[in-house]
Amino acid sequence: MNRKVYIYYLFILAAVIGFITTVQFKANITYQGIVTIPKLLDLQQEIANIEAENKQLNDSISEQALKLALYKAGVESTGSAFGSMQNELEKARNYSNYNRVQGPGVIITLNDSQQEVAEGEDVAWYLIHDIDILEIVNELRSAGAEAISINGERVTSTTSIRCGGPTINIDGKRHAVPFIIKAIGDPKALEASAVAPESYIELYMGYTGIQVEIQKVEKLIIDGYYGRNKLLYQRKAEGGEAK
Amino acid sequence: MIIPIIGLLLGIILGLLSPITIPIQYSSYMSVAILAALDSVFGGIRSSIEKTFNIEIFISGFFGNAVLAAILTYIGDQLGVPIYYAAIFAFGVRLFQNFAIIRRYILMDYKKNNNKS
Repeated sequence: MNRKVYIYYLFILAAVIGFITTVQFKANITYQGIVTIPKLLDLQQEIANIEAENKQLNDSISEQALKLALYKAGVESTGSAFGSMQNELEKARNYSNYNRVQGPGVIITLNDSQQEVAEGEDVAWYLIHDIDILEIVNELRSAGAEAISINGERVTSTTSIRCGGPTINIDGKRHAVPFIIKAIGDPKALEASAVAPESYIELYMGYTGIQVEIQKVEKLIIDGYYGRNKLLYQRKAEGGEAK
Repeated sequence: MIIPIIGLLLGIILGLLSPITIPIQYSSYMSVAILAALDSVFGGIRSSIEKTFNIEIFISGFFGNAVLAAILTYIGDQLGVPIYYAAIFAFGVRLFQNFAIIRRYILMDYKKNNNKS
């Protein structure tokens, strides 16, 4: 072939190489390493988490917007935001267990064993301890209990349940057997948490004859918390949690 | 020899001036295509030294290799297997082989000329 002709082909090809190489360099791509499948799944999980968080934040934005609208409506109709603030206070009191509440739930009655203590066994195995109450309360909470009381004592986020010799101290007040634990929530789920094969009651409390009675109730009333929550040390923090 | 270099410079200048950017997900296609093109260029230099250079073979190799490499990359992406490693490997090996042969020819030429003078 004529040398003159193909030198122009070469010219064009050289121009193409120069062009694509420069464009690629300009993109300034850092090497990401090999993307393995576990890494890919990790990243997918991360994205899903972030999306879920995003959605939650969006929901909270609309919630706050709704609240603001309620305030505005209240101010426009009655001249103050008192009404909607009272509603909110009522809600907050419900969350912090100050209100007497009602709803479906379960009543768990616990009593010490009536069996005679067998030879070589510890009498403590036949009695109800603070740890038993704690475990049951924990399982009820994990099953979605919204309000719990023990012998009429409302269980709050600061309630202590401790051993007091022959009695159990709940928030510093003495209580003796029988222990009646009331919980409001989905009765089926709450009952399941108590009678499931892996539940604390089934695992530890059956074989020495401790008396456990679980009763599903359509309507249950649980009194509010009567004590006073004193916040002596905690203050509202500025900024994020220190790492 | 001067005209391809001018072409290369023209391409670089065009690349610098043009507003085209490659989306990051296509960057692996581009890099494989560049490798294929470079492989063709080395093959072309070698064949021109061997006096077997054929412009049709050269051009079809230049574009054909680049397209085939891009297709392999695409299939690999779809299957989740980095098949473009095969292209990188093949082109890389050929590139170095061609370079070795070119080097030998140039050095032999140089020696011959030295012996003559």
